[in-house]
Amino acid sequence: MSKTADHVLQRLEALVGADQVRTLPPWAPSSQETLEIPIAYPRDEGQARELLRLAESDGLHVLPTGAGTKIALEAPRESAHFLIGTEHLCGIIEFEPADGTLTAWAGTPMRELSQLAAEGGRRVTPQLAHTSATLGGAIATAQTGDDRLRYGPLRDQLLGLRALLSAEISSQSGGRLVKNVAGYDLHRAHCGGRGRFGLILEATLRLHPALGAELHIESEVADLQAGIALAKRILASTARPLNVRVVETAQTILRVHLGGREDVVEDELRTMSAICSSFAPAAPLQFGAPVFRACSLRSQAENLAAWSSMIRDGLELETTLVVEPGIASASLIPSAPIARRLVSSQLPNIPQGIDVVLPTEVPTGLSTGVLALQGAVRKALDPKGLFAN
Amino acid sequence: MDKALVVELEKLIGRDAVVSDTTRLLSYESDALAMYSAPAELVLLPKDTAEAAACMRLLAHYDIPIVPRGAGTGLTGGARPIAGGVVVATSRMRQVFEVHPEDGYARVGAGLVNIDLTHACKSHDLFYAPDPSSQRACTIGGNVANNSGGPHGFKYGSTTQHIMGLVVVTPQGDIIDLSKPKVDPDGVDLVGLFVGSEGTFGLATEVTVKLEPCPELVETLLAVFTGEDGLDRACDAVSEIIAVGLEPSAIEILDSLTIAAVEESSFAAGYPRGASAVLLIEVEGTETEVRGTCDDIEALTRRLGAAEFRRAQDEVERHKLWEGRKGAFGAMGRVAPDLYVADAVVPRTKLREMVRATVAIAERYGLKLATVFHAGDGNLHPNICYDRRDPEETGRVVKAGVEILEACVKAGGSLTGEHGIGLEKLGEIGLLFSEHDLQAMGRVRLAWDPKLRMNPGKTIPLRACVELSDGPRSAESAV
Repeated sequence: MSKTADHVLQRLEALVGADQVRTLPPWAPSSQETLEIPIAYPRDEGQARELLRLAESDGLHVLPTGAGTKIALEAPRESAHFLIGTEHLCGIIEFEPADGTLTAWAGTPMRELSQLAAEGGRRVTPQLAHTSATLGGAIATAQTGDDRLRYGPLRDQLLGLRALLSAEISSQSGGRLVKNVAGYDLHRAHCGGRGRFGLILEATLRLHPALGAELHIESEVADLQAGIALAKRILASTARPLNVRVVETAQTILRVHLGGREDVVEDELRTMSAICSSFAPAAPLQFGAPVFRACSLRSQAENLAAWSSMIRDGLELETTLVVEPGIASASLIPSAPIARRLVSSQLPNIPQGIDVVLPTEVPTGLSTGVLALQGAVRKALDPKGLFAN
Repeated sequence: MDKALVVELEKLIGRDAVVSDTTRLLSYESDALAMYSAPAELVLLPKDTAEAAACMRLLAHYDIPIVPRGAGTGLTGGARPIAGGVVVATSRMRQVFEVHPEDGYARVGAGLVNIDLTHACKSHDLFYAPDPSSQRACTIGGNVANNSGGPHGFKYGSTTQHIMGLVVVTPQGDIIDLSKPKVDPDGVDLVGLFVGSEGTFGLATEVTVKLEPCPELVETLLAVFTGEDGLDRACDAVSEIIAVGLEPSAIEILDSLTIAAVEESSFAAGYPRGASAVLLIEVEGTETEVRGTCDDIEALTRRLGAAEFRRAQDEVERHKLWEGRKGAFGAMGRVAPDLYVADAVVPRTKLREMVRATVAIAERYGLKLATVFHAGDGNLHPNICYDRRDPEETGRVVKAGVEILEACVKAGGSLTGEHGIGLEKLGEIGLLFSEHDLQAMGRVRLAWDPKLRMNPGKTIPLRACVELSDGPRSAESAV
């Protein structure tokens, strides 16, 4: 650890206590890996403000971190001097099932939110594979869940949030209501902002009615393109699945997740069987974090799948390719976590019509005017330049 | 207005597209909030992005404030000038550039009228979901500015959930092209930030919208409540429908005064005249889904005392029931010459108590209140019928309006669910947001508009900056 890092470590320990500063990664505490930058875990909002005050006075850059389940989606850590972990900033602030809203501290695991909502006859979306992911982390990385096809992206569920922009400034936008257009929607910038615009303290999600029945079905298909063709027929039908996926490992499987009123699910099952007679019930499938995700439009699903397949072949890693034609997305899920840089360094030229969502280093082809405006907005949201970019 | 500038503008977009004579300018001195008005110095009607950008570059050179305007159907004074300046209206930008059925989007001019967008994609079995009551007149660009809602926002959400891209002309006249439809934004979500910015960030000239597939089946229901507590029970029924997780696509409440006004107007829908409230509900989906949900809603509303429950028998009846709802604001012209349409939101578990509170406030001020609102979203529209030629009554309307907003915010609600803050609610925004919150918003506004020339004096107060403001509303300033 460098002298500067050592200095930072001492300052952090003095602020929040030595037991609340770690140099081991929380996602692999028993590993031999040592972080080059420490993580401080404030016990409350007051300590979080003190950490930001330290950053300001010492000219340091910080980066918020949640449970570490989407480490590849964070803003690059290299420019941060320390991380602020939200582990202790957790708990439910307000939950009224009949209103269909849930407000919680940013460090609250999504699992807890889902459980609580279910007890009130509600459903939280996104449903994430890593249920230990935090609310703040899910928002900062704009996580796509298992049910996006039905409910839309996370930004459509986010009703409002409050974030610390500096020690003195907390900024709230939106609210705890399902409908509200007062003020500018700054929370839209935090959603997918990768922690670069402030430390999210609390957020409110819109809830949906719990599903009366759920059913997962699957069928083996000849190949990726055959799976996509069937998926498109399902998407053109009257059914409203939670997701339709083509999963390619050693074999290629078409998977469909149905949910809703029991009579509707039964109806939709008949529709599915008419499209593909070999559908059979299946257990829910959980995927890990993707190392790569690309998006396009539905009409480009075949090209997207073919290109992503080529990427997979080039990576020389054991990965599962998951194509979701309904949300025009393709992901590569590794059998074991790998570093972000490994993927980004191996990406070939990106064809027109395909957007690589991850990793962040991949150039997006935005115009200079758009980039300049993004930069101005970024400065507006982080006026003291505290957050790592 | 500098004559040389007018000549230059006429050269850029043609004489017909520059409105400078006093009579024609009158049409632009207010939006649908007729209580407040101020003349524009000039109105420009560019036909496309390039013309708008050329005009705005010139206006930037002369350092002139700009007020973006769609059809002027807004209800908060957001689309009218407050201290001179130039109105740039999008009403000639009515193009439908492309419709992509498979990818479910269309790219249109900002001046396209909301209902015309749905007409344009109907042949593909697609529709545009946000449906404000003014959808026969309001523009897509205006909807973007205000993040407009509508009855079907209960199922489909507000405008922001249906905007995939934009072309924006900045106050400096630069064109920011964000029109490529994206599954997720690249970097900072500029489109998400722009929607609902009420014309203070720039002028949207082209909009890429998400389209929804037309449902297999649609049923429209009418639950009728009578008696003194009929409105209470209608509110309770809505709270219960949401609490048990039923999923209609729209839930609207109309009270007795609204019903009477509608039934006496050309929008007559067949609502029972003696009813104290009706619930207008729409259910969409597959046949199984619709039948099941309708049955459950009928059982629930009857349990809560609905005196009558009606299912529209055909498209004609369905259409008629909705015409009554959408024409309700117009029908109220029979009650009084002017209508103040409040727009507040309350938690959906507090519908009964907050509707009661608004009735009590109106009674205390001796005002006539007609209530018609998006009950499913908790979005109240207490409508006060008045005559703006009577300054004393107008003063009471303003005071009652403020009190209604304060009561809703105190109950955990918001100042606006779909109309925006505009000029009307600028004085009350501090009820919702702290100085720090507003400063953060102000900094973002400055990032888009460093000289604060876009729609000055609206949406958020910029206390640290020089604002061309005639101040927040007050009884004295209302004319």
